[in-house]
Amino acid sequence: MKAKRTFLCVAVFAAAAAASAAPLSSSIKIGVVETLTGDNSAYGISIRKGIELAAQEINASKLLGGSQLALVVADDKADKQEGISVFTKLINDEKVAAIIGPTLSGTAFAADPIAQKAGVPVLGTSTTAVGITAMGDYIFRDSLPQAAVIPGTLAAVIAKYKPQKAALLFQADQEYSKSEADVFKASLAKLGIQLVGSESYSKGDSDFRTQLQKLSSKKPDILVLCSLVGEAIPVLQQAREIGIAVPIVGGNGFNSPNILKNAPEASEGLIVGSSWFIDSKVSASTAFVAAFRKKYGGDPDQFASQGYAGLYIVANAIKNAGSIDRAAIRDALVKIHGLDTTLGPFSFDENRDPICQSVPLTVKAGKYVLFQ
Amino acid sequence: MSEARRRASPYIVAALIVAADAYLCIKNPQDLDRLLINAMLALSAFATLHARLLSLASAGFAAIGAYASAILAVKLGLPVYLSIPAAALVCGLVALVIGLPVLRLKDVYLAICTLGFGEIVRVSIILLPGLTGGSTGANLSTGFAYEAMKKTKTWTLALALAFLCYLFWAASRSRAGRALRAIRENSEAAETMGIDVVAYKNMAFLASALIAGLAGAFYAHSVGSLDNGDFKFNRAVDILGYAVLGGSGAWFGPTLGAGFLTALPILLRDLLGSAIGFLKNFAQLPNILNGLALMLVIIFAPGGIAALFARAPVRGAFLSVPPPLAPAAGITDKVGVADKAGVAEAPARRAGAEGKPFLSLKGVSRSFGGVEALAQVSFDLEEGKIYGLIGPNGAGKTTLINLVSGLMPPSSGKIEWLGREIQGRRAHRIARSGIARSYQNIQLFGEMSALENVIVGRHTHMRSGLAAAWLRLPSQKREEAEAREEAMGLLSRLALGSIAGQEASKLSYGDQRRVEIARALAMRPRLLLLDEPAAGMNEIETAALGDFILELQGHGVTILVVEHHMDLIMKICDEIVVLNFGRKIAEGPPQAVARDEAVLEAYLGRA
Amino acid sequence: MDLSFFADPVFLVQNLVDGLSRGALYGVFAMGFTLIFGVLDILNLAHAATFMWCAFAGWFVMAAGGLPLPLGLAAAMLAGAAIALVLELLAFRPLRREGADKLSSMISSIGASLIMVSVAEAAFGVQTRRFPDKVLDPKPFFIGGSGGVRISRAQILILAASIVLMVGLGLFIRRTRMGKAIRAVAANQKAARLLGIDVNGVIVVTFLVAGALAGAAGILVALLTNNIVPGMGGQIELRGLAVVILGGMGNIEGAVVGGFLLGLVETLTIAYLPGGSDIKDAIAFLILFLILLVKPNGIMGRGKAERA
Repeated sequence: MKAKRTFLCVAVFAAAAAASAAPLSSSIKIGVVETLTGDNSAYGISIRKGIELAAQEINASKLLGGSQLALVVADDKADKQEGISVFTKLINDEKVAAIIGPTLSGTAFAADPIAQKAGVPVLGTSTTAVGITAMGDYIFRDSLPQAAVIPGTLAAVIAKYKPQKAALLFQADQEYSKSEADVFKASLAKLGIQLVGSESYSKGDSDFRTQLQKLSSKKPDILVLCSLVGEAIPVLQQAREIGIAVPIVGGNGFNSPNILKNAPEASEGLIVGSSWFIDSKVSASTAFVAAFRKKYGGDPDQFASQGYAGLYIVANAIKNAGSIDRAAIRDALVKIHGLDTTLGPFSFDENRDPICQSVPLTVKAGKYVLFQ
Repeated sequence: MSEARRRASPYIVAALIVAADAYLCIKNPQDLDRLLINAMLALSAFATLHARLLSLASAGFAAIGAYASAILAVKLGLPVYLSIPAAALVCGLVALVIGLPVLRLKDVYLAICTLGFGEIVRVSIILLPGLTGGSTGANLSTGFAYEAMKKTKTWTLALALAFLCYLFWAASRSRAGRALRAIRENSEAAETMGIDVVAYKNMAFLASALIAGLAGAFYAHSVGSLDNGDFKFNRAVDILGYAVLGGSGAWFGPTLGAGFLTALPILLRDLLGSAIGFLKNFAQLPNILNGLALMLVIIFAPGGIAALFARAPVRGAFLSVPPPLAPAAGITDKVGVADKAGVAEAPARRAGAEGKPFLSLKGVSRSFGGVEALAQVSFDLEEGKIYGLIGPNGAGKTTLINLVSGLMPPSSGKIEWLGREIQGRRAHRIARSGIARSYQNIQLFGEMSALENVIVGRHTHMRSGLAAAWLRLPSQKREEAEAREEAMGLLSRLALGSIAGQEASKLSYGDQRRVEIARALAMRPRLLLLDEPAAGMNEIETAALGDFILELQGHGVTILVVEHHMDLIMKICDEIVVLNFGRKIAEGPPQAVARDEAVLEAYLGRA
Repeated sequence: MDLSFFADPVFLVQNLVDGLSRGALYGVFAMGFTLIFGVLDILNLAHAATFMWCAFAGWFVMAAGGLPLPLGLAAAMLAGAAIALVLELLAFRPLRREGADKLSSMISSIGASLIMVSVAEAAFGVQTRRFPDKVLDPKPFFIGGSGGVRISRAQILILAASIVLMVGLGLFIRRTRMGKAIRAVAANQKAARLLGIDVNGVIVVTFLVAGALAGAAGILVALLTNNIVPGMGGQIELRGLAVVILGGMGNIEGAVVGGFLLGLVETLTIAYLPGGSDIKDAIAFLILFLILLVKPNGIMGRGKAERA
């Protein structure tokens, strides 16, 4: 009898010990891998700002009780081999609990499998290509794929302007812009709008007038532009400069405060769909925007917002898991449901892609407002 | 710096680089793949840069190799050990096609053309999305699953690199390696030694493409996905950096350069990553330090790391100089002059040349722009005689030698050699058929030793190819030993035995001249063209040279000497041809020419 | 295919205007490149970084400082000259002293470029900047009414500037003493030194001029494209290399003519070839290839590009 009780005690004790096998240590390392130098660093830097702001708040608010988040930031230089190297270093040397990043889908395709194999959860906040989360059950993202955003935007545009013909300009040698253009083309076809012209430009081009002129001569009812943030401004300006007056629908790159600042006239009336915009009335967002302005002195963009939300998602998963065991965090991430974030109530779908609202926006008097 | 320290310094540098790389690989084995691939790309760059071909095509070929192997492995299901070599072969085919026209270009033109090639490859990748995934890249979303792509193990890569290193090391010790070094030093002179410069350059370009393709294929299967930006313009420039930093003089140079330039950013990243505060936020710092390192290394070691080894005893057995032979009283049969065997060596097709003049110039003219350097020059040479070619400066003597040796074609007229027309033929063919020359302005292979210079002359009489060198066949070793012996003999005969191991560019002017003659003689020519061989010599040396030329005649060599030393000409020549303003103004035995009115007028002016 | 599209004269002239002004930018950039190559036989791959810094210099003077365009242009050209001088003293002269080969100089310039771009990134950040509208009114003129040919002030300025610079530089090289000295050094440095020419001084002047040209190019490009970022040198560098080859190494007029040619080829490809905008980059280089195969010295080059 005594032996049995002892055994039971030991068993219970062992079970309890096992359950708290990796309790929250006082410092929890989270890896942040973003493109911080080079041509695409605008995104990476923005994401990093959002994440660092979130870390500051999370630690201050003691969301994780006595534990503090420690960010280990690394630059992937938009280079696949560097991404692999950095991921490996973070996983093996720094022993991070999870990784947020990388910035570009191309790097993700090379580096994420490393994390998948090692059983480390990865949350992308800007990777939108098809197939990212298909790489494995440890790969998550909070950045809405274009296919989730574009149809809604176009539907709203059709309701208001009833266009028959559309023209499209995109960057041919960049995977983000190209896939965005493909989604637009497919959506337009599905919605019965004729694509009268499709032109492209390549990296480093800054003069798009010829392509725009050619598109303009086809007399479209709407002009669709798929550009990265850097080219979005000149594309927009040049389009208006050469006299294109029809409504312009922009891809994700056009959702940026930089556009409003640098092209105030040209951006008037621009339509873009997004899961977040700066005047969003979601409570977590208004708080975020205020805090961002206070800490950094400028306006946040969608990438900062998604980065900020991303760290909150990871932190909440850690809190729910009650441990820094990587598998436990992963399981907790899957279960994230209706979490209050800057993107609104946030959940993952069965493919670990985000379920959140995207709304069509337009620019009126220098601000993004809901498009009706 | 003390001699010992100076000689040890390159070893220290190399050891440091190797240590840094080893540290990295232990710390983060993923970086080993990166290192090995960069080293392979560096070897690819070495292949062309060593021959002074400023080709930046390695990045483009790597892209082709990467995508080719990915497509073969994933879309066609080939196992990786087949798709990787196949991808390299694809690159080889492309190189053969574009090599011929592109390699005619010089230096910077070639560089930019090859950069353009890289751009065209990049754009082609984007324009074929069905095959390559286009600008979306070759990854999961375009049908290139990670598991199907990521196939190679690091040890295969290491093995491949080690094998390539062996091939390069063995090649550097072979006849082909020497020929490439000669081309590197002075491609024109190399051509007149019988080395087919165009063929060697194409071979170098082909090798470069194959290796780059291999590296690209390994990259594809090591990283697991591809996109069009992986091998763009910047990559080509990086690879050039490896090669120049490491030094393109020796095969191990670029590999060391790759080791240094791959390790540096990673070390900086790791070091600065653990630094606190301000540095941590300064993401550009590693790039800045990288650029700084590049500049500093190139400024303080402009020949690259490999050049530091030039004076170190690494050259060892291959270039060690055998003891000089005692200067013989006369030339023995062994000492490489066209002996009877040499005459019989001439291919059978010469048999039909009986009765035809030895060398015949018929109405040969050459203009440069509007300037007529030679006009309607005709004369014949008989075998076995010594001819002098004289005339005031600018008469066209060197031009004539250039035409006969094949460095340029005549504007009109014919040159017949052993009964066949040779005008317009390539210089290396003419050299092989038995014509050798020396230069008025010395054209030695400066950084090679005197001995090596002369051994280059043996090139056409040696048979060993790369295969023999790679297999270390005894026949190759024997051939090399024989060539060295013969070269040493020639040098000794010209009283140069004691300086045989010295760098040619460091020799005295007179010694350099004689090395050039020895080099020409090593070819066992039937006709020897000497362009001002006595320039810079004093009376005693000139007389000795005259005796030597007479001895050569005794061994059956026909000689044409361009000279200004009249006493030498008068003493040794059987006949003299006089040129003035590009025209032949006199011809005949020395005494007759010396009294010729036209000749006197040309030299002294009208009384 | 809508054939009237091809027959539209307005569209054609428009493309000529756009192509020539785009090409003029390439030409002005290439002039500095080709000058240094012609004199020193080296490819200064830090030229693009210089050009980028001058654009920023112009931005600081005009956008932040509010000064008008002529001053901004002057500031940019001065900045370019200064940067080029620093490059010569730090990156090139030490190598020349050692007798290093041309490749080493090229690598040195690559290192310098890396530093310059990274410092710009760190100092200025990566967000796009542009000149404010008051610098140069971006509203274009429409010749022949609103459906007519469009040309902006920036395009007019660029076209004019490229011609003026080309003629001016040509006169400088051919008519002035310094120009003669530059040609002498370009032909044979050793001989020039023996003739008493201060070779280092001439090289300094060459770099100053090339730098000033980079500065002009920086402002002009920024005016036309409205996109000032630390990475703006990358693509134009590649185009610049192609143009230098097209025009012949060291040939100033060739650089401008080559630039016009490249600009026209690119524009006409985009405008008239179906799918042209996808392949315009490849087309440009293909044309380069073909020209080099037929005329290895470039269209107007006189040097020896081929081996014997």
